[in-house]
Amino acid sequence: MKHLALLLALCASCHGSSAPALAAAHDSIPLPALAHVDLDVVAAIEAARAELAADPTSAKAWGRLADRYLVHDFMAEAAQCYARAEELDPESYVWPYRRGWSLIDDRPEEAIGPFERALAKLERYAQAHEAYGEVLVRVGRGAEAVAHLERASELDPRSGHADTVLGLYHVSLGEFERALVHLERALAREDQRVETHVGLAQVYLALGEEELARRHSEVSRTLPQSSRRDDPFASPNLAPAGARARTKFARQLERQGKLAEAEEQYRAGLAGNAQHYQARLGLAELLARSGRRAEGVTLLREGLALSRTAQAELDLARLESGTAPAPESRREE
Amino acid sequence: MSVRVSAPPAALLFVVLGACAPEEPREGQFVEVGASRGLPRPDPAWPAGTYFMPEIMQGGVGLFEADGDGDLDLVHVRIPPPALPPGRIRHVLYLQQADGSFRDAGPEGGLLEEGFGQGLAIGDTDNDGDNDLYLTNYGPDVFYTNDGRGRFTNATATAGLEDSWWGTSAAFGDVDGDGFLDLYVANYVRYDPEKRCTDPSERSEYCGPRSFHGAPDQLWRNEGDGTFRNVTQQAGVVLPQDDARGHGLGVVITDLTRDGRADIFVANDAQANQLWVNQGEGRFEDEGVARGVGLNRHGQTEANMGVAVGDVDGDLAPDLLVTHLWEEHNRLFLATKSPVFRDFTVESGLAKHDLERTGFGCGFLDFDHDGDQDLAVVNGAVRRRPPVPGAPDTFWREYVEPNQLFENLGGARFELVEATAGDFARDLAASRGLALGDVDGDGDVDLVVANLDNSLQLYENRLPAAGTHWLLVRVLTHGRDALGAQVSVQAGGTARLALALAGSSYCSSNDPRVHFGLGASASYEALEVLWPDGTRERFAGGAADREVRLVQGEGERR
Repeated sequence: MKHLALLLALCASCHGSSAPALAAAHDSIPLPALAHVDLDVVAAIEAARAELAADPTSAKAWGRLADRYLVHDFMAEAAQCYARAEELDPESYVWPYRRGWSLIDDRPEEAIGPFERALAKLERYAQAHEAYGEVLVRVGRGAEAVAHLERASELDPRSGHADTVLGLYHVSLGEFERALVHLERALAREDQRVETHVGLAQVYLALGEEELARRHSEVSRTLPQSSRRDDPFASPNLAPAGARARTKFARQLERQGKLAEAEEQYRAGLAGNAQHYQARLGLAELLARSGRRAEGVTLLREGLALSRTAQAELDLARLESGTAPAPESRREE
Repeated sequence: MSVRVSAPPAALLFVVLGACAPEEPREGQFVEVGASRGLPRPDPAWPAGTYFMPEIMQGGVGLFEADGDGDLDLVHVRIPPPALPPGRIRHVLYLQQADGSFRDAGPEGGLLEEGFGQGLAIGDTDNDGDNDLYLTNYGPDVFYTNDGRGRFTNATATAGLEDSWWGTSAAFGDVDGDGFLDLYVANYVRYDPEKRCTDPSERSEYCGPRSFHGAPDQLWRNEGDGTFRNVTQQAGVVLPQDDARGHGLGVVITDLTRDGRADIFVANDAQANQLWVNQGEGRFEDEGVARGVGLNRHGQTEANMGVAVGDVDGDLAPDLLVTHLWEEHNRLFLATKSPVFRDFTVESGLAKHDLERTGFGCGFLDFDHDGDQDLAVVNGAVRRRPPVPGAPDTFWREYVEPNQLFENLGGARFELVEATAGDFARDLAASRGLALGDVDGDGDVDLVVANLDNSLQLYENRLPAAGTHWLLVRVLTHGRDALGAQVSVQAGGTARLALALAGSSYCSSNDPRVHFGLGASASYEALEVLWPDGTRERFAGGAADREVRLVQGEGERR
């Protein structure tokens, strides 16, 4: 009921101060089901919708709402809004590029066009080639993907990502010798990428090098699951809302050395959802690294009182003893 | 509130108006007949879920001969309805009657222990000619022996089969070649009911496996004297990171590496799958990653659920299918001439149809008797999804999904055949278990589906055209079904492979008889069996359209 009341209040305020046309425009803006969604997420969405309703021909306003949907995983609504932003501002690479990312998991066939249009404006951006190449592989157009992945490898010679994708593509075709070239190059660039070791394990087994296969297989087990590379063109710069988004933002701030701001975000996330374990763990670890280990330990103990899980017990023990968290700890809930 | 909407609008109207108009013929060739045969209907009052994770994972259903009368009976593993005080519930044995209906065997059937049901394994563990039952629960599992007349006795303690982890799928198979069926139990996670989980939009939601440590799977060696010994550690069926990587949901036991020894494939939710390759002398090594079945073609872990095994490309080597979460593909791994399986998901055409579904139970079957292996998959979300058209207006609205039937067009290229699938694809439910078997004894494969609301659907196959032929093969060793045996038939100049697998799919157990569609061939030239102990025998041909029994030792050794 609280959610509904807030929604009604927000809608009433924007309707009350605008012409009927504005209300109609507001109603036609894509809106996902928001029942049970955190209040600050609802408020952030509604603010972006109200801004758009006030200026419905603004590509930026459509894009900002799309960004808001993207960061909260409302992918279908994000894709709709990015499409409208692109219609209004066809010169920008940002809208089709992010639209591609909003479609890549659910509707990869539909992500191809947007990625293609973005790539036309981002010819020298390695990750645009990678994204396009990856989506082509996903839909079975691997032969077309090869040139883009090779181009990505040239453009960013420090990254092993494109060569890993290429290697795994050749593995899937049974082309083990060709796969080996790419995977060894990827390994030389980045030796902590789990997918590279997985590919090498398969290649070496197929080539009869069982010991090498076993070795890479073992290494792959010790590495955390890779997540997507940080891609500034695909990452909206928004004020975060909700524990999940705040935690993600806090981790970015931590990497930039902005510890006080990171702490603020973790605490805000926990204030909205005390059961959000990743926010709690992130804050506890940050405190420990800042010389406030006892505070961090207390925080995790409070979390255990709320929900006792094996992982939480393990993390608490590790924090108490000062050892590093396990790769499994830092995962999405 | 109903989780399932099984009636098309016209049929609903018929119900509302009373029986004053003839029932409109239902389109499609898989027709739901369970409701009229005594199987449990969808509960219209099925309450809202409580985000208690085990209530969204259960799905146990098994097809097997329980009482020695020659037809398939059925066991249904159930959960207490959500929103009631946490409790336990009796599992149900349904005995098929002469008229094709099913009767709840009740307390006389002996399935007396209550549990929070999940899955099951079925096999003759004492080689006395009848099938025994292992039922997995969220909580202690239960093992029942059969007296041959469909009356079961709890033998958990005497057999030493004590597993209190959260069990899901389980399978019997003779992994050490001593003639007795051993048992593999896939265990899921170390669940904490107090843990509250949210979705990316911060709404309450069922937890995913990554919120918990995995629970260790168990391998039990059948000692041949009515007892089992836990050999998990000594067999090497353990993972290096304090069990953190095992979230077992699916399991199959058969020779997948073509070395004559039974291997164990385990599908893990959000973790790499394991292919425990049998090294001989009771030892196993996980070669899933190196053989290309541990991860997807991008080298990433996915949410692996159910498992199907069959030869879908006609090369006489067993291929694997693993069902997955939405935004992931159901993965098809083809055996190749190299030791590495090929991820053929995209090329097969399956990838076009599964991103918006969460697959659980699955199985290969030749539903139209054209000689190749088709595919059935049952679906139902574990996390909220945009409602599908026609979804009921209940708590489960965002979880129900239609099931899918795929026709093999040849060469492992599949096409979704919704119209042909009839009720099977039309019904909307949150489905989990799928068991395959010739329930009505007409020579084709029927489908039984278990849903979250404790309802069962029986889909009768009316597809094979007149003039097509079939063969059922029951392979026997040591006086019981030779689970895991691989049988090839030579007919009309073509060789086809199928497997005697009970334990596969998700939390379910299939008719162990091997089924072949023979197309226009009214006879077959020969049968060849790769027995679980690695030996091969050839048997003479004969007429089609019948059940053939092959006994190990009576064929021509190859």
